[in-house]
Amino acid sequence: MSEQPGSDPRVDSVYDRYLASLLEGERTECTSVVEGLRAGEVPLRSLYVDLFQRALYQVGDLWEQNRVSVATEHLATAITERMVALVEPGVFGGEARRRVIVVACVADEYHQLGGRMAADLFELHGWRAYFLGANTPHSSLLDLIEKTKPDLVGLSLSIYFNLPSLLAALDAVRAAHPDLPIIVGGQAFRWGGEESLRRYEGVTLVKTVDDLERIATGHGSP
Amino acid sequence: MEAPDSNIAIAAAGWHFLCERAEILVLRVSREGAILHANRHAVELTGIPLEGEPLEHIFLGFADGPVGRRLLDRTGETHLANIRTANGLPETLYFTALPAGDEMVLFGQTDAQEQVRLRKEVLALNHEMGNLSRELTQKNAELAWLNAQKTQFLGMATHDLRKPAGLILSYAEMLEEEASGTLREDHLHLLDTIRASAERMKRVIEDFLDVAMIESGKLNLDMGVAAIEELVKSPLLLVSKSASRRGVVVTTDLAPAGQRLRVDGQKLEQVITNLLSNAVEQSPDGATVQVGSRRHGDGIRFFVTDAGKGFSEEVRGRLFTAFAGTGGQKRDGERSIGLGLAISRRIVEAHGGTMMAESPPGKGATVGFILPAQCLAPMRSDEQNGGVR
Ligand code: B12
Repeated sequence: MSEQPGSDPRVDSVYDRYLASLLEGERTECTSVVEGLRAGEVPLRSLYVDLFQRALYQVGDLWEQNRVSVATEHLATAITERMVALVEPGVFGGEARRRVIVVACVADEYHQLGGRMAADLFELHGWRAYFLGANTPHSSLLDLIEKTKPDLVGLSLSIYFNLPSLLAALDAVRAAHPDLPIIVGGQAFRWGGEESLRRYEGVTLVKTVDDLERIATGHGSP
Repeated sequence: MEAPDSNIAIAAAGWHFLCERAEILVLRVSREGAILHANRHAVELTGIPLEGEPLEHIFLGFADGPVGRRLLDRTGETHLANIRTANGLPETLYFTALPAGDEMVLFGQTDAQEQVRLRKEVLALNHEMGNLSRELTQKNAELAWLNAQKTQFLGMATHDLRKPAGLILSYAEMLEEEASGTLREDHLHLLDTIRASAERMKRVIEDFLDVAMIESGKLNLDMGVAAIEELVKSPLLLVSKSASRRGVVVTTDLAPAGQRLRVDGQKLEQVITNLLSNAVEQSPDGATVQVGSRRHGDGIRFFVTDAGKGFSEEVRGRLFTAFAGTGGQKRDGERSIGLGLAISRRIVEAHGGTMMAESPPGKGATVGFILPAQCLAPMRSDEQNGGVR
């Protein structure tokens, strides 16, 4: 049994089994672990952070150490997407929502699970969160902003080398909507680099899920 | 010219690697097309110990003749062919046959570029699927909520309409009874139209209220015990006026006689009334409508047969769905919203039963329902002196 500070003990108790199944590409086993946790009413946030995210980070580490192949990593991600879809019905309340956010991954960014989870976390806190997936062209982003009139835009960036795409997206949104607050998240900034965002007004880097939730509940800027 | 020793050693190492390790299919084949030797990958991929088999066995036979033969005949060229694999899925390999003394060697490999592209596209498609699924789940939640809102609104609106409609109806009836002597003929006719319209309005409102109640999950059954004859009594009475106005005769044929049922009598009467009034409505003047029952497996079947125009197969499919537009035109040209059958279905299903409908061409329609065994009460019962409540 492996533990992670602050994580749900019920998740900890099945984590190793889940990770092993994920690496084996055993989606049915993963499904039964996740369904078991859902049946025990483990909060979705714990599933997202303590199970899905933690396991994928570990997959990424193993991959970086040449211990698993890119095929294994692809399969693990695809299974995780499936697990997210499995629990997502619990994310959405259908009632009219007061606050709206549009979350998107920037152009050339193929990591989309983080953005999707971030969007879902906003939904869980009573927002209507629209999500545009990987590799979103500026035009689609601007169209959706036009259509949904969000209170907030979230951009996801996992690869630091994609920073130019992020800056281009920020420029495009700023030009069309000078006052629309924007948040940025994702692993690209794990090792710094936030100074490049300073020249933008109303753009906030969100580093942790706690920070994300503070914003979602109105206890943090913006 | 003599090959240096090291070249032979390299060739041997290469051949060994091809046989034992490489993810390439390698077959030594006789010129006649029999497999002499298969490398490890070939055996694993196909799941058969290939040696001695005819080459043709590994290929998927398509229409254009023996694949293996053609490959062997076109030495040096690379051609695509499909093989059977151990996991049951076909695999496309690119084959090249090379002559080797009296034998041939056949190599088969995947196209790496193709695999890369496939992986990339599958990844992208998976992304799209993920996003679509999220969008659908989100929309679904919104629709469910809107639907609940609609039901609630429908309930509130019709609830508010019920009282005024009831007042109009009872005052119109009162006037008809008490003031008929003092009113002119044409005024009396107007009054009668008011009364009939109010009656119709009241029925629609009651249907709406039923739907609202059922959709909000508040269909509670109030179970009791009643004989089938009792269950049809009040429905027969309720339709008798409109039937006799048009000379429609309603006959009954209930079997097994005296069968007692454990049901919510009032709700089932509502169902039977609905079926009966539809049947009378659909029948031409002077026709006969039959209401009956029969044992059906270990349950019981109720049916009402009319002599109307019947319905098409297509309409039959949505007959019991609310707002499906199957209410259609009534005989007097009035449009009906057709909630009655949808309500009936909910009531019957709440009893564990199912609705049924058939319409043999040119023979009118039979609409009814089947109740399961648990709705049958013992014939002689002393547990409850039931009756319809
Ligand atoms: C899966 C994966 C892929 C998949 C992605 C498929 C998919 N469906 O998403 C594929 C195969 C495409 C991929 C490709 C690459 N990857 Co990759 N990948 C990963 C892996 C294993 C998991 C990513 C993931 O989903 N994590 C789980 C999610 C939930 O976590 P998250 O993204 O951090 O999101 C959370 C927060 O960051 C935050 N968040 C995220 N977005 C947003 C947005 C907002 C608005 C907010 C508020 C918050 C927020 O909230 C989320 C929930 O807590 C990571 C390993 C890792 N450590 O994460 C590497 C990783 C991200 N990849 C990496 C690399 C280098 C690549 C490649 C460049 C490899 C290559 N050379 O080909 C390519 C780049 C492709 C491209 N152009 O984008 C590096 C990135 C290093 C860096 N920071 O620059 C990592 C960290 C692996 C490593 N250890 O080196 N990868």
